[in-house]
Amino acid sequence: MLPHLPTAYNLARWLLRNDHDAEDAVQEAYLKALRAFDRFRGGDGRAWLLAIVRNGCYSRLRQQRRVEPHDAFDESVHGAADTRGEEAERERAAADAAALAGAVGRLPEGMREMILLRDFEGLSYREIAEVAEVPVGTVMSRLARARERLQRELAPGREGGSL
Amino acid sequence: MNCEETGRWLSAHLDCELDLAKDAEVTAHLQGCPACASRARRLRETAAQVRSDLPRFAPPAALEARIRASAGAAAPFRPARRWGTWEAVGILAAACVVFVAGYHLGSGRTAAGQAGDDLISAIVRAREDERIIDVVSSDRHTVKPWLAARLDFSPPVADLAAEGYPLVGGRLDRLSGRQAAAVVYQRNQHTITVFIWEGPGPLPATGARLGYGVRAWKAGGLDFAAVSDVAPADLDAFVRLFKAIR
Repeated sequence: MLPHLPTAYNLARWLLRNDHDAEDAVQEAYLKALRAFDRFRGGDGRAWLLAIVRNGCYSRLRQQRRVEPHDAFDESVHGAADTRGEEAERERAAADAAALAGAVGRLPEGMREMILLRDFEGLSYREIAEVAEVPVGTVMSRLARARERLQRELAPGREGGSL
Repeated sequence: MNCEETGRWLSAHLDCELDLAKDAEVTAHLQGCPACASRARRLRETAAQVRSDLPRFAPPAALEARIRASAGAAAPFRPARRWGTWEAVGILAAACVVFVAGYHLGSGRTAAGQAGDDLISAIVRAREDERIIDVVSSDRHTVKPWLAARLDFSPPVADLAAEGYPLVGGRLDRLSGRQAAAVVYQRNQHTITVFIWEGPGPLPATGARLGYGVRAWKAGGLDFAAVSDVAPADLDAFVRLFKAIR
């Protein structure tokens, strides 16, 4: 098995939400990684590879004009409107794996990748910072917003707290 | 710390990724605030749900063959080397294992690199949190006791204003899980942060790292690292002065 292939494919598949695109993106990323291997200076090989996969996914998304700029993650842009349909209501009520997958899929990419890399793949903030090419502090705030948002989507009636 | 601030740090608190002082503040707030405590519990549940219930997409069996085939076709364009394409990937994977082992043994060059990364992370974190200084004072007789009261050691704090490096203040920080003093000096429009912590452990590598200059040394049973984006010559001059005054 190629190193890290399951993780790389899973990340690409969750970012692109399409089997065909994910396969192409992963293939390209591995070829790019091999060509760039001379420039690999040691350190975290997984983070290095995932950064290449991630960059490829984002350029695909940009080409498809589906990606928003990074600072557009506020609620006014990504509000609850897209979850208001009956189908979304049923999903929420079911609160099962399908609802969870749906909610994760509805997160903007910049939030989705944080959830995937941290909660799904178990990367440290430092590793995520390396993959996403942002400071650790940005990982911290983006992940916090992503979890809050995911939790609201999964349990809309139980908000409470002091937000 | 109020509820709004706690909310901002809650997620990182659950991941054990906060610095020592901030983490203690969050913990203290959670003990006294049922609403935030319940919010923390819900966040933890959400994270656990992702871990256990989110479907994982497995790569199709044909994908690996496809990648190997196209890599083979691409091979002639790559510089000649003694090992083949997939051996290179194998070495990459092996390198990861070695590096991980290196971290855990806390030895060698990689550990020094890791320690350097920790320094830069601490600087970036402080800047993002706008928590560069906990105790603001240009008087070392204020900064030093403030830090000493909160640490297991008494960090040296120098007064270098006459030499062009005025003291700005200090804060508590954490490096690789150890508590550290961070003493901040000013040089023109830039700051120089001196981290001081108790060894043993690998010293960060001296040199340049992500745009920051790093100078590390040991003295009097403590480890020191000066980190700054000032010109390298200024940083070297500062370190000489700092060592001389102690």
